[in-house]
Amino acid sequence: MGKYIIQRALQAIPLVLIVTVLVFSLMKISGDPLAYLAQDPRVTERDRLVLRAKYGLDDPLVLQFVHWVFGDEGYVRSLDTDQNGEPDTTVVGERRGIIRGDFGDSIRFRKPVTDVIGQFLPNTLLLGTTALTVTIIMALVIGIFAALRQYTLADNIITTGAFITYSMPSFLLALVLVQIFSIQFRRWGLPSLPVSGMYDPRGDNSVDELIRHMILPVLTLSLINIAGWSRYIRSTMLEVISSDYIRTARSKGISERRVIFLHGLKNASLPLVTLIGLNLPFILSGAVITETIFSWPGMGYMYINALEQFDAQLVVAFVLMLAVAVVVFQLLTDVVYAWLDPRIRYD
Amino acid sequence: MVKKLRFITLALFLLALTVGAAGAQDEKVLVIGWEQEPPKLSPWADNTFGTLIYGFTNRDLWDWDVNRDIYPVMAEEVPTLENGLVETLENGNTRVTVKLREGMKWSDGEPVTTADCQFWHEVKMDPAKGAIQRENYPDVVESFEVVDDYTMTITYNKPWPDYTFDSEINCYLPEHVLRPVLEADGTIDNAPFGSGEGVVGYGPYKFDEWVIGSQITLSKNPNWDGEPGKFDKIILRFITDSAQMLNAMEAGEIDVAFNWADDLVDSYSAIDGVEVFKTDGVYGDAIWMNVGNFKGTGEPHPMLGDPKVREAIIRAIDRISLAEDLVGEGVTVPKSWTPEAFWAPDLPYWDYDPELANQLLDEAGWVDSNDNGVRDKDGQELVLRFFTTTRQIRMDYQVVIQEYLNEVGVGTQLLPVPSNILFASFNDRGILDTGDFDLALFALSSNPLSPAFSAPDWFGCGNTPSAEKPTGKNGWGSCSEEFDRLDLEVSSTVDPEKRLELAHQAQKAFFDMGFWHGLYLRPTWYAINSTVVNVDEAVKSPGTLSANYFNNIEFWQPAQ
Amino acid sequence: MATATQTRTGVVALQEERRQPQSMTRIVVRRFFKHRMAVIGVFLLALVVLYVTVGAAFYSEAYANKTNVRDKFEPPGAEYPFGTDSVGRDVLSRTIYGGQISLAIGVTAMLISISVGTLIGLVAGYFGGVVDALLMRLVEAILTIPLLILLLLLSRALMEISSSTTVVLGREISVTVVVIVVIIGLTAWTSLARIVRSMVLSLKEQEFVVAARAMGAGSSRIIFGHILPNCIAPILVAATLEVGVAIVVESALSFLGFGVMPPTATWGNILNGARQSIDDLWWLWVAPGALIMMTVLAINFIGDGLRDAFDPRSIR
Repeated sequence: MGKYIIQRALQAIPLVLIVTVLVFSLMKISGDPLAYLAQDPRVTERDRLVLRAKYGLDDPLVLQFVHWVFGDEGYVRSLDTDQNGEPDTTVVGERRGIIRGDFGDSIRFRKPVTDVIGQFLPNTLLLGTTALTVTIIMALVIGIFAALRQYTLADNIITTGAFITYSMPSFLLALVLVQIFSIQFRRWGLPSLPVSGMYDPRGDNSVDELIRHMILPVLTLSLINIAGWSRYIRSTMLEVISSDYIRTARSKGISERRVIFLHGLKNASLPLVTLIGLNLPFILSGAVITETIFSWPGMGYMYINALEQFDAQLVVAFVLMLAVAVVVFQLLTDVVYAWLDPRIRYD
Repeated sequence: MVKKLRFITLALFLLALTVGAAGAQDEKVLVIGWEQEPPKLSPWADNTFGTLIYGFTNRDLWDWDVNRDIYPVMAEEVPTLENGLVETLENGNTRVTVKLREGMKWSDGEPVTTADCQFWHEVKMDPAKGAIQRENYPDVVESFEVVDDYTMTITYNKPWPDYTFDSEINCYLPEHVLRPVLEADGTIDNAPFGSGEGVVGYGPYKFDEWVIGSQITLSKNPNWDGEPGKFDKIILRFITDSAQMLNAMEAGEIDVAFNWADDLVDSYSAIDGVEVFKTDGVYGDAIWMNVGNFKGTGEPHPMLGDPKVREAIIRAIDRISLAEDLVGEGVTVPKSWTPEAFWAPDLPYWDYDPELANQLLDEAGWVDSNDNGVRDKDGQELVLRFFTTTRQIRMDYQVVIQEYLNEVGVGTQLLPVPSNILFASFNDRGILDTGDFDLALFALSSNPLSPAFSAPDWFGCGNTPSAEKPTGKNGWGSCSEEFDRLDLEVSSTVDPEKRLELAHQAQKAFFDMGFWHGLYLRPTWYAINSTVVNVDEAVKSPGTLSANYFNNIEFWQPAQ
Repeated sequence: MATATQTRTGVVALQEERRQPQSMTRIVVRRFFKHRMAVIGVFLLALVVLYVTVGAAFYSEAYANKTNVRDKFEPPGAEYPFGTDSVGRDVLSRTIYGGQISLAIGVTAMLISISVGTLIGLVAGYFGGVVDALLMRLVEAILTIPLLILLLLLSRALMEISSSTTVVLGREISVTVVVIVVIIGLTAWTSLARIVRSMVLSLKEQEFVVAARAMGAGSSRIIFGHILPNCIAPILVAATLEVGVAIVVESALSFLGFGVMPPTATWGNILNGARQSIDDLWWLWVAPGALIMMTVLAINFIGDGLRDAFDPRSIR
């Protein structure tokens, strides 16, 4: 087991490295992070040059990558800001490199990338885990129900409903939900739900305010996913129910409900754990569309803004962080899987 | 089944919470929808929505009303030649003396003195100390002297007529807060001030809290000696999505939405209790033609280099109808780069005249010889690559302009791209900087107070970006020695009448270069909930001179 | 995970098919058409295809692109059955021509991803060893980044080179269409590659493959002549579903402003035009939204029907 974990961890290193190089180069070919200064007559070329030097934007690409990974402390850049052929300003590097935990400064926020991510991450975790929990509970209820009543009218209705939400682009679903629960409900004089943010602007940042703001985004995220998950649970349950030992258990006179919940669910839980384990790290990425629509200050919202405003450092650090998280969680899932199922042995 | 019951209970509980939402408030709170969260808070911020916040928390030495009349705020009086506070030295250069009002206090109670203004000067002069927007300040300011706590002088190294708004004295930065940071870090770039901690200002409201990704809270500044703010709290709520902004307004989550697109006038007007109005814009979208930097070579453009082709293209577009239909009634189609107040009375303008356009193109030798609907000459089709940014109104304009040009046999490829690709620097292969375009639709802002073009980087000869001079900004390759000479004179002529005369000549020289043609000045739209704010004249006449939308926020009154 | 069951049942189904190919195909077709939802799916999809093809006979492309700014934002009425957009173009005809692009994006992206996924799965599974290890690391590298995050990044990175137009089948379209097709195609093949690989792993030990190898058949002959035909079931299912995924992904990218650039219309970017006021401009999202949903729903029904038809245990 220990050997297996070490082996997997070693395999992960080149993986993370490939992702790093890839994302870094993609970001570098996609334009100028300081282009927004071009429209501003108050910014002189000299200031632009100094700023570019500070972020090392005019260094050769390979050097930029090396600096990003290992730091550029003490690296001196000479600038000829007045264009007379004589260097007149020097900018000395101060970054320590990702290897020493310095992911650089976000160009737009002008503060360490890790600080920026730290500010958005908790909100995403809150939304993501709540949505995942709701999804799993609802999917279990629906999936088991549908499995027990295979090919009945109820099953067909549930299946069709699952297909419809599953086929709906999430932004459309979010917009329709807002339209119904925030706008129309208010027009009809019913209690309506807030459309954006985490708290009421004039509120007291209380928990019930937070819950009210979470309902629509959680609903959007869950509705989209419940479909797939419940279909999956339905088919797993069907497989388990038709298996020999359940038939045996049933024949021994154990009550139907007991059979389903104790034996069926227990056996169906193994692949479910894997599914949850593999999905958890993706919570970190935030729900780009849902967070954007509901102005939920999470990672997805941050990512879109970083891409739009072209905050290369932030984008690269974020994607790298995601890749590492996915690799770690895959490893953890394998370990939990082995622990749950003693038949599995890793060498 | 137990689980199901539990779920239903939970759902009912959540629904119950929604009912008890509206709580009573004694405080007067104003919530303003803010479409962009500023990356950082600083008076030298590079983000419009960042500098806008200063309309609440800070005031300048003087300000302008909607009629462009200047009035003193922090200064005792506005320096002029008449009151003797502006002097022309023996060498012709300008010296300005400013007296601060006594008794002004920062929001933390410390007095505002000339030491604060000097601190600003110090940071502006030295790039190492921070402040990316030093403009031409270090180039034109000779010296700055503190006479006493309330008197100071600034001396320019040339005649400097724009001393009130260009490289002017400023007292934004509280020295007592930032001096220790500067001494510790060598720069104020990383001051906690920037991320909203310990922010100190001189304005009707003071900065309380910044919840990243959510909102900024401001409260009434007890140390402000001007007209007191009427609201106890002002909240700037970040909502980036325009549909959500509208929804938030409809749901009563915000009281003010501003700077939204013209298409939404009907939607905002339809909301109960919401009043909608607009103020004249300062940002003007225009068609820019690549005249002298064909594919980045610095050579004249084979099609647009010909003045007849340029005129034909503009004559083929009905700019006035376009502005009316796509932007709104009464929208100005700018005839020149500088503000309307300074226009020459006989400023030339190319009216819509498709007949003339066809005739001009024929004369220029572009005829449709292969009968494919597009004119050609020497085997080359008259097809232009037309860029713009992904802003909806610009993409709409682009589509309609394509049709107008089709009518006269000019083909176009429409290419909307993200703004940071269009405006990227030469080294980053920016489309404008590398001359990789034929037509482009975008706005660069002119100074709303000055008759001078004051942008030699953008328009002057010898500023076309190239490998040798990557910092040039004139990607369209315009060049007129006469224009360069006149504009230089305008920017250094102190006598207002003579200056205006020169400015009129400069405008004509600018027109003759023929690469810039205004489409519309984008008005600023406001939607205000009249049950929260008393929407009176004070509210309807904000200072829009340089998009400082909230410079009269202290006069905004809560509705009865 | 669903893929694991799919793989197993697929193998079973196809071993049978090997023995009695004629009757098996017939069984699959018969089962497919007995699947109620699959039939509804085929019907819905046929409707959509008719809409974008026959519709084009009624409205010319020039009409779809014709602006009429005085009629902007007209709600649905006699002249404009689906209303008009921000420059007064007819939404009905734009959903026809936009639909052609959307469907074309779905199909071509699917062709790319299915070819890449199948090829990589075959090669990795058949050759094993270092080749397999490298290819599977590549699959993992792609899977470490969530699809939408990766696509947004790719689309953003390629926007500079895609700022131009190209002529395809006589229509001038934005190069972003090509870019979107390629990036979706090149990122969405990973799960199919894994399925095919695992099938190959079990197939290559089967008697008929071992026999063919013993008779001196070359690798490519064994892969394409013996193994590939036995992987058709999961490939067909994946191919169907992939079209739907590509259409949804394109609309999501367009919605976020990172998709196909105007003036080339797709369902996704027509819908994007309604973003600023979904309430007042409902006709801008209802028509393209319904078309996207109908198409994807139909495709998912068909995919499900195919899966069940290939699965011998789901006989009712």
